Amino acid sequence: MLKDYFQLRTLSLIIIGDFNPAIIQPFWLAKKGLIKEQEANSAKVEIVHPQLTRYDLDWVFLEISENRFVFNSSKEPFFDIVRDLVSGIFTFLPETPISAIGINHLLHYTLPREEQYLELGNRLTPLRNWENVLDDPKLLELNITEQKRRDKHKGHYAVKIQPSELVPKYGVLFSINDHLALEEGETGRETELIKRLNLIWNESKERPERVVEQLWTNLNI
Amino acid sequence: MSSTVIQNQTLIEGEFTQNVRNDSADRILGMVSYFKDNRIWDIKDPLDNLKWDSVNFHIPSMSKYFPIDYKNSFRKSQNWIGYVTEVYPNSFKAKIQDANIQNSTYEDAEFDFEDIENEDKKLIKLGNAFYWSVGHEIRRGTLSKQSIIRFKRLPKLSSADFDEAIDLAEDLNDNINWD
Repeated sequence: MLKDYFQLRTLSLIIIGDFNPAIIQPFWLAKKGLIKEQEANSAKVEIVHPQLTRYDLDWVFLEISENRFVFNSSKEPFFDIVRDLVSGIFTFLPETPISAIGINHLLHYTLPREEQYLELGNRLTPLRNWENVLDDPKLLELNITEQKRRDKHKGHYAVKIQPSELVPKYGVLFSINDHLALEEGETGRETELIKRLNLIWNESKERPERVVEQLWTNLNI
Repeated sequence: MSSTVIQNQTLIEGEFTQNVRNDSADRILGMVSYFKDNRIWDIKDPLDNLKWDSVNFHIPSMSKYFPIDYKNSFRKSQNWIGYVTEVYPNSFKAKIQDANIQNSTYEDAEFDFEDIENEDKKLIKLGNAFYWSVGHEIRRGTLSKQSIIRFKRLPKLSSADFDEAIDLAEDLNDNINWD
């Protein structure tokens, strides 16, 4: 099973909308009771500026620009807490319009043997099709999209497979993009998309491992 | 400090010094804040300050995922979500549920106050939710077993939120199929 080769999972939650970066500082989060005061005190603040705010709370890295709000975490025990933080922030900012949410689950694996690593690319996109076209062709990146979401919400689900730069050799990265868009008639205000994020969160969190495991089984490497 | 070429508004992370003219500065500054003379300049600052000047730019990575530090991460962990059911002088009891499996069964557990961080102790109240994780943390490249308990922090429900929740519960109740 592919899970035997699991190395690391990270979360990158990206929110698209209109934001005021200077507001969302660590002490604002602590004042609203969304993080601990001690976390606000020890936050590693890179920049707080009307156009860009960036800081690290140790369990989550935040970057807020005028149109993009990013939460990154490489600590799996905190993924639910990151979701709570997102939900909490926008509960306090109900008039902030949000046009899309991308929940990006990044799963890194290390395959034990070079043959398996190369065969993964060959099974995903048969390289015999490239005979007499390229010398010694290799797959570098593959994107596959589920255009309509299974849960019928507006958005899509996509899987990207590429070499992992984080883990030792023969590393493979599966990037799952669970994308939520506005339904017809929605304004993006009153936490419409945040409520939907909360609704799909558990499934969004669980599905990536099922996806990569089923794919690995299908590829029969 | 490294020299970086900016082309077609593709910004590359890092700090670099570059001689800029007004026209190129306009294009560059339209994207990011910048540092000069030890302060952050607003993009609306007069560009006169930048005539054929040597400017130290700081370009944060905006277009791709942040680099994740593999040496400070968490390996696969077992996660539960719990609800406080009884509070004693030095401990509390809780119902806990596997956070990675939807609709998993509840189990009973008891936790000592000394395992809870000071700022979370005030949140040990009947019904309050918390997360509990056990796993292996990699910090500065060293692997160690960790148990993390953290109480859930959410804004208090407004009366409108409360009404909405009641309405939703009534809708669900009305739509239960008893067959």
